[in-house]
Amino acid sequence: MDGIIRITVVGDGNTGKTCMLYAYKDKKYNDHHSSTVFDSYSMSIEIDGKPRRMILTDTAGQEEYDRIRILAYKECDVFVLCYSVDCRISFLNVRNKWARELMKIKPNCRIILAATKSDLRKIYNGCVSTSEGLRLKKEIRANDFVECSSKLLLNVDIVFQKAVIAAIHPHFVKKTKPKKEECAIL
Amino acid sequence: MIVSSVYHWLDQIRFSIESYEQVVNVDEVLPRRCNYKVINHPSRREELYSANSLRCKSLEVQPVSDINRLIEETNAECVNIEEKEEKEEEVVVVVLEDEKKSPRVLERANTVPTFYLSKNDMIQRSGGSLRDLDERNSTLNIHRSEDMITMGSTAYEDSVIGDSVEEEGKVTSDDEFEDVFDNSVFDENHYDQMFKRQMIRLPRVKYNRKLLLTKNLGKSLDSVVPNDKKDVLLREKRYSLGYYSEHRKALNDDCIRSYEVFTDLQTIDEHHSQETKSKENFAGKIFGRFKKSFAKSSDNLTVDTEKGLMGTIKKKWGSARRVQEDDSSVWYCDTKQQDDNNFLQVKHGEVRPVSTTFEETVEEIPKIPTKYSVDISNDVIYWSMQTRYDCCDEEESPMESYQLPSNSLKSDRIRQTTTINQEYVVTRKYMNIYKMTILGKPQKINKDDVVEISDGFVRLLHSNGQQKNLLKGFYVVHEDKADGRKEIILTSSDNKEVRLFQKSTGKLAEKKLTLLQKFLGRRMTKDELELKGIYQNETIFGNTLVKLYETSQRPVPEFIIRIIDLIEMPKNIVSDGIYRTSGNLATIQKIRIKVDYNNIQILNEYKEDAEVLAGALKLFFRELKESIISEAHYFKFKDILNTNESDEDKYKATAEVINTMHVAHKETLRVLMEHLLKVSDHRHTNNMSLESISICWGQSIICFSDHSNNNSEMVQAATDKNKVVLLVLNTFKDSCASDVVHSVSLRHQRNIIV
Repeated sequence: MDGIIRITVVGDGNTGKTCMLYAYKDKKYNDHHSSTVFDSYSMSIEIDGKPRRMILTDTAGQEEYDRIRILAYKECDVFVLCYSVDCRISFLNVRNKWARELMKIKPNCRIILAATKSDLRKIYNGCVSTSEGLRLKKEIRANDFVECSSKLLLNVDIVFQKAVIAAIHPHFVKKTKPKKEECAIL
Repeated sequence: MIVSSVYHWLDQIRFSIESYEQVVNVDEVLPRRCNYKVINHPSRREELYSANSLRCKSLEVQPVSDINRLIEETNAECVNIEEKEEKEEEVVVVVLEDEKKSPRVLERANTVPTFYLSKNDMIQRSGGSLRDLDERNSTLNIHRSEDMITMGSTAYEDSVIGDSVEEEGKVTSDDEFEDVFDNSVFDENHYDQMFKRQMIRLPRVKYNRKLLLTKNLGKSLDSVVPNDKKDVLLREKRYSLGYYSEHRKALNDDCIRSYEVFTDLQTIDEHHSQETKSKENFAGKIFGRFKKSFAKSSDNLTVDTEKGLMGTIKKKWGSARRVQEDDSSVWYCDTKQQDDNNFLQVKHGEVRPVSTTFEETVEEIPKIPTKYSVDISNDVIYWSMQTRYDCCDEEESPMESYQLPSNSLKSDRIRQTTTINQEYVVTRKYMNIYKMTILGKPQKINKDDVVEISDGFVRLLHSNGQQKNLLKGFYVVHEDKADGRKEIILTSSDNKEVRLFQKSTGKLAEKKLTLLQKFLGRRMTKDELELKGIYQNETIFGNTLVKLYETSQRPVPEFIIRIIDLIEMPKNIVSDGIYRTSGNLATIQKIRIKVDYNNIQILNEYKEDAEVLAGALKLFFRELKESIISEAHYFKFKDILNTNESDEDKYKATAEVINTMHVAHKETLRVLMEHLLKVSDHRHTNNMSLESISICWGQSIICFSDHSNNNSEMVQAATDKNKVVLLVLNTFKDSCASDVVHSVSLRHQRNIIV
């Protein structure tokens, strides 16, 4: 590791990825409605008393941007995989699309599963529950699961704290098994 | 060492099964305890398999055999348990069938420490008790089994059911093996600790099985023996409270033990006193501590019996029951609602295709567990080998490569032949042979013997379970003989030569096979297929607008008009972040396929789901063979963007460029852009400004492949595309410029459509 921690935020469109990054960066809620193409911010944080650089990459959630997004995957330590609590489709797409995409391109990547817009749970019925999120976390083998709300600035810091921990903590380095047995056809 | 690592693996497999459950949400359908119960049942075996294969494929957990479990499953196949109703009671009848297990399986299984129950005692008791039953009711089929392993598995199978049996009025704990006796007598942890203190490793599953053997036999007797034979019942009760004394057999393998069952308390006492006298016998010590509690619990139970055990104990089939349906036994697991649709059933012999990769399974796994037929014996062998392999690999890694440098080959013959296939052996391979020679001497080979060739090893696996190392460190020389037979010559570094002869499949068959392989193996290129007309574009998706126009004589495909109409419905057009939010990708693909079969009506089914419709529309434009704004036009637009003219001039120039496009492209673009402008008119409710729309549509409308690999270049190209789309959108918004396009298109419409 060259001292730079690279965190990439991925997830369906309109799940609040950019908002979350703004909330973390500027500590305020930015209510703007425009899609992102590709964006990255650099900021420095202090870990164990040493300053480290952290690069946050914001990506587009739309499937048209798959090719561009994948380029960001190459140099990435941790993925923050977002779904929005009020949109069950984004939750399903985590399993159907995102986890597969990440596994395919970076098989041993570290993932923080983030449920955004948790403030909407009080407003809408039928939101994705916490237990469902935890189950999904286990299923996609994410390293951690956080529910956050950019509007209320709730838990947003924790998302990125956990991402940083996952990046630097050797405990989270997943075991790799280089040897792959041939598949027994059952 | 090996044993410990087996446990390690077993732990892993339990973990993986748990997580597998979460994948299919079985835990919602099945009660928690059902898991253990059913998994041990032969009909659920494949779930264990599929769990393994799942994990090993995708998440890189090595496939490990849960040896203990497999052994039990294979044994359990011999046993059928029937459930019959008599006198308003459900009675469990244990029916043993004499089925010989293939010795291979059992012998293999022995490589793991197993525990046997002493033969004579067990069979005698069970036989005796069941005979009573036989006299009472002649319709029941009872075969006595002399096979001790079958007996053992009976008890085990019995335990499977006993587990689900709850006594009325008792609060059930979460303990897996909860039972009346269990709570009072057997403290599992306590027991466990004692064994640990003695530093003896007992496989956990086996140990549980032993306990269950006692209690469940007792239980089944309770329910079977009629009231007028209370004496018998009492005696048998004691029997069931009896315990097993443990003897170490003076065998080479110190793991093999035997158990004895004592019938009544007297003999227990006698034997016990003998045991305790020899204080070195640790088994005596352990069971000595249990003796008091045995006595206690027997008192309790006697009271129960006077009340009438038969009356009080009602067999409640908690949540799983097994029903015999002609030739196929079915597990019914009731869900919360007593709904027929919610029954979860596993049918014996039902074959279902099961996807083996994780990717496929994630979505597709049905809630109904699947069954497919597999010959288990091979798997047991393979997996037991596998486990051993893994165990070794973990600790001492004997799997070094034994490749020799080529100059060390001394035999001329090998030097000639090795060129054929020098590095032949990479992975493990099993083969059946009919003849084998070592250094020219023919060896004895049985029919079922298998030769295993793995990295650096050649082993002969006898059908009776023995194995023999033949070679270590070798080159493999592969030779095909003219008559179709295969001869494989293996030579080690010390010039030891092993020849294996494999039978051929026969001349004719081989000829046919090669012909077939030739025929099937060759694959036509896509161009060839297109030339021949076999491969065609999809009817709607993945076609070109021009071709669609030629076939339908409509400049705008019907699909687009339909879908735009649906999206412009007042409910859909105001949905937040339309075109930005992704729809369910699977549904979109489904629509694509249906629409390709000219089933445009399918769109009406999804008229509530704006995201899916929007996604489908975007997909249509993305999938076009020729992007709606072609590469040449795109660069023209880009040039207009880069000029320093005023906006209105730009729009006019753009309109003129649009007019030069093909009719189909132009018309479709017009319809689409007008639609998008309508969407952006609702920007206060759906938050889609023109900029957002252009970002979401940029990659779809202009989707020729640029060859930039650099990240920043790609981002730049993407933003350029978005800007061009914004320009086009603004052109149509601008009334003057759009009139230019409109007038042309109107004229066109009059000519062609109307």
